[in-house]
Amino acid sequence: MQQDYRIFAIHSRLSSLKLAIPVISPKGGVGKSTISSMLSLALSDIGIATGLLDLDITNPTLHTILGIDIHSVKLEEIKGIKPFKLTERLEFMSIAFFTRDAALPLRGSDIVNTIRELLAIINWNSMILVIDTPPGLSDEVLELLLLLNSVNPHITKPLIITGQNILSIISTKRLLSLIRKEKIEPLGVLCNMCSNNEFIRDIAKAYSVEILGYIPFIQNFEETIGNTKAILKHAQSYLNILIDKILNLVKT
Amino acid sequence: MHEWALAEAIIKLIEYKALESGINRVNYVKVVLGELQQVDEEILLYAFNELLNILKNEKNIEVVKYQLVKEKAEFKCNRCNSIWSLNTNTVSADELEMIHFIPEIIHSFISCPHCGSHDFEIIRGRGLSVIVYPQ
Repeated sequence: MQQDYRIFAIHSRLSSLKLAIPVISPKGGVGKSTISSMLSLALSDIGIATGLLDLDITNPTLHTILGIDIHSVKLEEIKGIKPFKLTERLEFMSIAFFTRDAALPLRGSDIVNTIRELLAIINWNSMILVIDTPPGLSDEVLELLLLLNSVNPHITKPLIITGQNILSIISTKRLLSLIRKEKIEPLGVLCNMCSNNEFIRDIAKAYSVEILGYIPFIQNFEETIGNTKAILKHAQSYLNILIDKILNLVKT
Repeated sequence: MHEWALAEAIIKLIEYKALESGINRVNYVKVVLGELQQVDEEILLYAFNELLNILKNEKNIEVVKYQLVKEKAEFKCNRCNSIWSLNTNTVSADELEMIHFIPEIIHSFISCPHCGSHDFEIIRGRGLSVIVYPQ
């Protein structure tokens, strides 16, 4: 890695960050993308310069959730590429801007190369970067943690998303066990589509991670896709503990 | 075009390697320009030479010799093993610009000319790569 010139570009591109929040879950369908969108909309709404990166390289969907028409966006180039400004304080980047939303079938080493090129050319101007990742612990998540760790291990705090069903809880246990062995300090665990916090109380205690609240199953959530105002409203209802924790972290 | 940013990153790599080896004179730097990324050689060279001068004047680190090598792009299909070269006529100007930023994007725009598979490897000429030989 030390012979890869892109690492040096990535270091300077990410040097202004105070906090990087990879949103991770070993299991698919637990709501990483919607929660990444909710969180970044809520942070930017309270005046924090926030970046949102869709790192689901082969299947990006954040632009759809945020109602961005990929084909109408022309990315601005100034010594690299400026992220798309969704609002005054929310910057967004996705591989979909480059593929024009076409399928991008890639194997492992190509995914690593894509992530390095992407992070080496994007000019973020944010204090907090929220990164949506694909499910599992494969190339995207491993490469992201590797790069963030090389920039500054202290700014990286993964947000772990789980559901309340048994398969989701078992997967989250596995992830927390691994994270603890690697001495990564997670932001905490958030239970999505949960009826209460009880489902994650035991694992939070066992792995000493903070419970950052729960989001109940929201009827007709599909109708909010593409409507940032409606998504922000949900964030303001359910992400208060998480946002308070983040505010405390960036204040210090 | 982001050649200046590329040149800056190469210079940082050279500086890192020099400091790591505890030397002021880096013996040899090889810069490979893969065809697929379409890096503008003239701009990159200009930026690189300007930044090399700054590196020498401000950090007292000197590169004895560097070489720029061009490499044609080649692809190999994982399904039928066909090997083919880049044909810029089959890709639009807009797509080429995107490939300039991220060469792997080509997987969205072309497929194997023999069997149509998108599961192929870029076996040569992907983009910019740098090897620093401090001593």
